[in-house]
Amino acid sequence: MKLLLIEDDLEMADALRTALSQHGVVLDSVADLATAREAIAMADYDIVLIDRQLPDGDGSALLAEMRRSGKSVRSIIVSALGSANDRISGLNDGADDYLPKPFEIDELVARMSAVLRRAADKASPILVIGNVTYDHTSRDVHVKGIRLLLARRELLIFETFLRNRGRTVLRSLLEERVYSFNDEIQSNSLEVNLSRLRRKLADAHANLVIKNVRGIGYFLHELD
Amino acid sequence: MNVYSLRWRFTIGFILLQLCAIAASLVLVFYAASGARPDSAIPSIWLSDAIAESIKVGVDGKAIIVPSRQLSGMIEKWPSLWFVVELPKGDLITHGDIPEKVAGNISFLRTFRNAELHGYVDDPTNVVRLQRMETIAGEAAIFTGGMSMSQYSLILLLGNIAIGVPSIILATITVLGVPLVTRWALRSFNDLTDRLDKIDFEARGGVVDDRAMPNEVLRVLNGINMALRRLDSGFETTERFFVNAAHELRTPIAILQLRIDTLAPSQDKSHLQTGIKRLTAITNQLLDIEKYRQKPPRKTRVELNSIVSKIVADFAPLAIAEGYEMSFESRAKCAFVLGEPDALERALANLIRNAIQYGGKTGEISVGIEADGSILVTDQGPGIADDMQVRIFEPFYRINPHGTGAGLGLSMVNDIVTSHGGYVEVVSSPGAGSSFAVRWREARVDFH
Repeated sequence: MKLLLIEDDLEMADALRTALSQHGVVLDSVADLATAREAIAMADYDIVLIDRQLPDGDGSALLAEMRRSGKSVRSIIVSALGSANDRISGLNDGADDYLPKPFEIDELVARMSAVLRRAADKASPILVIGNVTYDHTSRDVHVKGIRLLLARRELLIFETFLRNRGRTVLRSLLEERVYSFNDEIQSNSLEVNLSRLRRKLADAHANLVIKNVRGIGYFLHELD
Repeated sequence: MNVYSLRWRFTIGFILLQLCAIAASLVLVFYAASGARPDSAIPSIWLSDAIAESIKVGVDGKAIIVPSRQLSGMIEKWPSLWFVVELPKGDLITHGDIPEKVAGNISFLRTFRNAELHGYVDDPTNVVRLQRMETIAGEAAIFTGGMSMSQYSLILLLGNIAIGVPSIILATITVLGVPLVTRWALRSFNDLTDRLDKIDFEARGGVVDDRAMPNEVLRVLNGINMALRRLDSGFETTERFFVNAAHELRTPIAILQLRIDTLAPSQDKSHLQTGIKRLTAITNQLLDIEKYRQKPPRKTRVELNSIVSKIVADFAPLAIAEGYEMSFESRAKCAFVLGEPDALERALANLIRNAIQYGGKTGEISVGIEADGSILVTDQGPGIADDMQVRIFEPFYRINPHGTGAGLGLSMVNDIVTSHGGYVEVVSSPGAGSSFAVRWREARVDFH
């Protein structure tokens, strides 16, 4: 993995370089936007880490330039500006992720992997979560390489969970996704489907567990 | 009225001043009177009137005199008193001994309309007065004499007329008018205090409305407004400094954290990591608190069911990852609070985060809305000892000094809930879990 870091605080740059080198990441670092432009033009980077407050401008300006030039470089903003508004504006400017300072190095590495994985996901239709895989094209689910046979509604439920990874899925959303207008929803029908899906995942020893958030909905918990 | 009220002082002051002025005028007049040395005897000015009043018309059509009480008194007091009344029909009424020198000159005196002959002080009865007056029997020429009055009485009389009557009018106006005028003039001060009462000193940028204020009050008001603006800008500077300081801390903390992360695993490393986590939590929460404080609270209707269920949904993944079950239950169909949705969400998020952090990583975290709109966050953790329950809302207080929290979460919850007109209750005992209740003084709950 090759990285470009745009950071004017030299000590911060040095600390990041040392920390990332332990994770096998090669890092070029520049201190201002002008040098960053040259570096991006000359080399191919997997990810650009951008600080926002730079001596010659706001790092987010670079995002628009990169997009215009057609270079598909992934970018993560790493900034001391950490309020919700700052994050929203950074993501709207086109950053793939926004990490407020300070952060743990493991989190940065995890986010970098996630950003790259998302880029790869678009190319490859296979989603991998622990020992479970899901194929977007064939809609097949495998646990430990063995195909998991799911009924239509169980699959719809499972896909709704995958589309909302890391979030609580409201009961109303599940009902909406799983049943059409014409279906008569029996009050316990969703529960029946959910418990079947639960049992199938458990029997296959999947590291995914469906947790009930009583009064709200359900959450697909990924076991470590 | 309070003795220290301006209105009272003005009223009393002006009334006293006016009364003093009146009294001084009177004293001056009488002083002047006492200084006047009488050098002549003056015929009584009352006598002619008393005689004219006593003239009546008899049954035969002739004029007669029936002495009034006043006239009888005078006759009794002054034996030397005399008078002559000449009436149009030739009637003549006389009384007493008319001095020779007057009787012989009546025809001479008659050629004048009025006449007054003064005598010497040591011979007070040697005075004459001619006055023509309207009586019941027609116009009479009344000659009087043999009775005098002192000059003091005259001056007193004139004094009373010239000073006394205006004094009474003035005194009446003063006593009745001054309080009214004072109240009218000082009304602006009441307006001023009314307007001051309307200012919300918690909110930034509040100034006193200065429309239609008299100049004197305007100066006070401008002073107040200037002070308010200065305070505001001082506050802003401090706040900006505070926010900048918290911001500036982030990069050095980030550097420190990265340096520590690269250390080989050891007990020291984990200690340092705990310290860094705490430092991060403190800076984040300081910024959070300031962010919430900078905004004057909006007053929008916030529906509790929707924000509470949203926050529970947001935090459920974290709670589950930490080993809890999580649930939400509402007994109120619709519960509204007037206030700032962001702030309320932040308060609730802090309560739930607190439960996740200190709930013992086991059992259920249940969030509920009661029928009266109260919000309950209950955990099944180790609970909080009685003596600590009061202190947990203090800023920077932490039950576990080795934890990574900043000790600001619950203090922020308390601040936000209080500013929304509510209060936070804790029910907890060691080993029996904790329950935090956010209660509103004004419940706005619909049951439809």
